[in-house]
Amino acid sequence: MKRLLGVALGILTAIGGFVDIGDLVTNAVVGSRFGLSLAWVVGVGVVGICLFANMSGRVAAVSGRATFEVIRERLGPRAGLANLSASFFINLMTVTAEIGGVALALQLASSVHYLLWIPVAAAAVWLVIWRVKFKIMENVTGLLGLTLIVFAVALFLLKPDWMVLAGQAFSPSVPGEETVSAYWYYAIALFGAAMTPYEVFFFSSGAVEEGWSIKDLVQSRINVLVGFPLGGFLSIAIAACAAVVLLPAGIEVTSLSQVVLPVAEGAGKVGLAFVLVGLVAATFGAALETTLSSGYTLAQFFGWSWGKFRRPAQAARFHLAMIICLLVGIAVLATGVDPILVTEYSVVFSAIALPLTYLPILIVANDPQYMHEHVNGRVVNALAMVYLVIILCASLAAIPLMILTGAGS
Amino acid sequence: MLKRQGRTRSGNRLPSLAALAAALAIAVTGCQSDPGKITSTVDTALQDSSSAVATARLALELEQAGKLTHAATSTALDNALEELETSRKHVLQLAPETEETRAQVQEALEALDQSATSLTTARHAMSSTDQEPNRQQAQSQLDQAAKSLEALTQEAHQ
Repeated sequence: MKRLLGVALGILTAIGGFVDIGDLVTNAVVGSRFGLSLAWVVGVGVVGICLFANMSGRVAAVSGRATFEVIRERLGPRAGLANLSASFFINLMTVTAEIGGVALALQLASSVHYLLWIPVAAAAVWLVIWRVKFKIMENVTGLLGLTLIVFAVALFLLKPDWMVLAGQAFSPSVPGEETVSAYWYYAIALFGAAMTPYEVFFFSSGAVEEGWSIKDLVQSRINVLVGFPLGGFLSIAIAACAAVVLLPAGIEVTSLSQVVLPVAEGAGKVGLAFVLVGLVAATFGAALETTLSSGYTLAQFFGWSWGKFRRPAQAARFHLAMIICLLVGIAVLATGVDPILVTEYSVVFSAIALPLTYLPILIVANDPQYMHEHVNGRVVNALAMVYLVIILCASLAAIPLMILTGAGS
Repeated sequence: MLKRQGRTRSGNRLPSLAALAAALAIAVTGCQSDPGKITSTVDTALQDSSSAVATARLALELEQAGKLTHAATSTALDNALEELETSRKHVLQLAPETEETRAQVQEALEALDQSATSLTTARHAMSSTDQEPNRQQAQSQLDQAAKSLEALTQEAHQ
């Protein structure tokens, strides 16, 4: 019974923890401009993240070490540094976007300007990382993030024409007023949002924090294979709400305040209350994860003592690195740069850096020295190779499309 | 000797860099007055402003229907006004050279000013304690602004 509850809790936190500011903004932008014609990308992204998160969790459970530590040891400092540079830069951008997201969500709830909420949000992130236990931190934010299911509820209450939505999703085409290059630019952004590298690093480092072993592999697999696809379903619900309310009204999403309007229309103030709790929880949870991921990647590359399971004094450099990342995030946001813009760029840069993140994981997951009999099977490897091709294409096409479309404008 | 060579090389580079900077400046200012660029900037500004006004209309409607809180409505209106101001700034930076493009920019600016006024009225309606201006007045001004923007956008596409 206790094990079953553990599995259920793991799934629920995986669903709630799947959506972050990148998913929220990109899905709403895409829904308001392309309807559901890019829903297939969410499907492709979810399968990809399931594949690599599962691989990375397995590496951690079997070797007892986080993926990044193994990558540096297995591939050497140069390849490790390339992996670190790409992942850390994206992490830092995502930390900035998530803190901005928390501040924007709090502005929506209070009407106090978001710039005033930024130091509060960053201090709260630091305090939670400093004081709260890993398990509690992960479960509370994941479960509160589940309130975003209100997007799916609101969609039903809006009584859309389901045939039209299904038509957009299953026979995708570029809407008349949009260009083909903008369509593919947003396809890459959605793919980057679904496969953000920090999710994999957090998953594998979290496995070490929680002391996973081979016997936990089944539970980890269920969490990933059930939780992430349901999280993907939530992403599609966000896009569908925007497609039903914002697209016909001629509203192109450029701010978080527009993302909640369909929920208010469908589910009123009660729905709005749920969505605001969900927005704060999802962005705050992701701010915690990305801040920790920044510390994890640096500490694991340089061989510092790391982990929340250690007292902060025993992992001083790990904690100091996270504080510096938070301060950099605050400094960037204090310039007045739009957090939504930072989010939009972070998901595209995330797509650009994907090969540097996922290729090393695939190599390590195939090394019998670390994985013994738990190396990837043929089917997983075949699927991973297909994904490496997709990732490479997305990575190569991202910058030319960004220039061609003026960053999707 | 090496130092002198370095100085000579950087000395040779300076005029090239200055020429490059000048070419870039000409290209940038040239772009600002290029008729195609003007039409595209005006078109984008009108579309973005239409989206901002539509957001404000929807937010106000939902607030009047008791579906949206005061804080969320105010935030949506603030964001819409910021979006509109950005569009207006882009149009103001244009340097039209012909009669036709000057008229195009002027018309766009008038529509954007009307939209900014209607959004300001909506914000005042949200914060007023004496119902002056009230939400209906704000809604009607927003409707007018939306019509002007739509007419201009259609005209530009013909």
